[in-house]
Amino acid sequence: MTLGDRLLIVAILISSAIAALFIYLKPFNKELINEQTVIISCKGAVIKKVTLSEKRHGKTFNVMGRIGLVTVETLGKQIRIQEAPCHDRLCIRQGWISRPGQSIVCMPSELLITIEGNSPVDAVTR
Amino acid sequence: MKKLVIIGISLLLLVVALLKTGSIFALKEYKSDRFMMDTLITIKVYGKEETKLRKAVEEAYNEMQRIADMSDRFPEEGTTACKTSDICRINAQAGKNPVKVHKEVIEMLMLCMKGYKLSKGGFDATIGPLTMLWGFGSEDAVVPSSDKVKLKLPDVGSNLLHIDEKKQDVFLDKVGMKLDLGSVAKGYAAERAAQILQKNGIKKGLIDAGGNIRVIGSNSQNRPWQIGIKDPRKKDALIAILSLKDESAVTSGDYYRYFEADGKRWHHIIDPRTGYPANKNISVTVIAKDAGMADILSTAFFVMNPEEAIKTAEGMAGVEVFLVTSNKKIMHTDGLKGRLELKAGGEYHYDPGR
Repeated sequence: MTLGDRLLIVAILISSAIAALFIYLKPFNKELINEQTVIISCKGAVIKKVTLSEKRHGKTFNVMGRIGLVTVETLGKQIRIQEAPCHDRLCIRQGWISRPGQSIVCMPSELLITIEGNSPVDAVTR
Repeated sequence: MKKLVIIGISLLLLVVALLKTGSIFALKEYKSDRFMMDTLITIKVYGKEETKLRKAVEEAYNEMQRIADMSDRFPEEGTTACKTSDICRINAQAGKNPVKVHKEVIEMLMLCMKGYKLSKGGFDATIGPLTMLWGFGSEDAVVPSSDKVKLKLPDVGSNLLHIDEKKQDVFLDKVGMKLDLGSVAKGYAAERAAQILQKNGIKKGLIDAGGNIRVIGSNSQNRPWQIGIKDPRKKDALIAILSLKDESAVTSGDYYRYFEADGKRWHHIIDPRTGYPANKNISVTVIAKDAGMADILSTAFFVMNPEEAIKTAEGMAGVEVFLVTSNKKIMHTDGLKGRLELKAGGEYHYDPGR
């Protein structure tokens, strides 16, 4: 076995190990840095992305729904609809959500707020 | 020789790593959300070719929209939407003439009659006059006076509903009667959508029609689909997790559509016999093969006594029920043992021996 052979072997071993590490760790990256991404969409089109993190201060912002402005509030890793122009106010009543896979639906506004990531369940019956 | 072995091992490592993520043989996921039938409908399917998945999902949504259009009860008489809706036309002709309808409407109404009979009138598709009176979802939902409720009761009753399967027509005996397919249409549409997906070769998929769940095959990890049941009293929490395969789960609860007045909660599931919200259960989940039947049964069992609901479900093939009574007692059929993971907190009572 020449020195070149040995180098080649070591190089292959290291690159395999690095590849394996990357592949195994990838899904957990977001959780490692303790952040969550929230997708806000209206009529099926994404209108805003927000990052939730323990470290960030709470804030409120407006997004345009089908029938008017909807006020969204974030606090740490939680998000909720604070104000909406609908009559039934079901979206406000859904309150805070904080876990991956959870979502808030606003029917009259055709607004959907979803926290990205893997949920322990495939769907929820309610 | 030695180096060949080492190179071989390294490659093996890489392949194992790739297999773990499933990236070599993984099926593609296609997911779509659509606002329809007064709710959000999510369809998630798995397969090899994305174009085929997209086409299948599009066809499923089209079918659901078709069912929605023919069963909508809200359009005003005389509008185009009312002319498309069989239910609107039947209601407009109540006490006057039979109305020819789509075969799907006949199917839905036949399912409703089953629910009516087994719940002894606890479920009734002719509940329209009462849902209109209570006006849930509208700005001006108020508790109606007991006189007004009493006045509507004679206009409710499936004994006055006539379905002619051969002629494919429907007739309501009295002027003022109104059909309301609100507790069957979403489940039925989800069932039709599942059939369309299967016809398109989909072997793994999930339809979530506003919490009415219908699954096809097993989930992406080849395990039964894991379906959470919402905790009826705690926001942001599950009370249990179900394992489902090729079946549906539908829940009726008092916590979703309701309003508060006089210090009381008035929810949207009205007992057609009293005209007031049913008060024996706070959440009822039905697991059945057919999503339309599951939808009807969840409402029927919600209105019934919990013990009677369990007993009725035990007597039906392929039907299971999980319920929370108004005293916060958890009950379920024996068939759920082994595929139910309880998550309930201390505020609920549960006797596993039951």
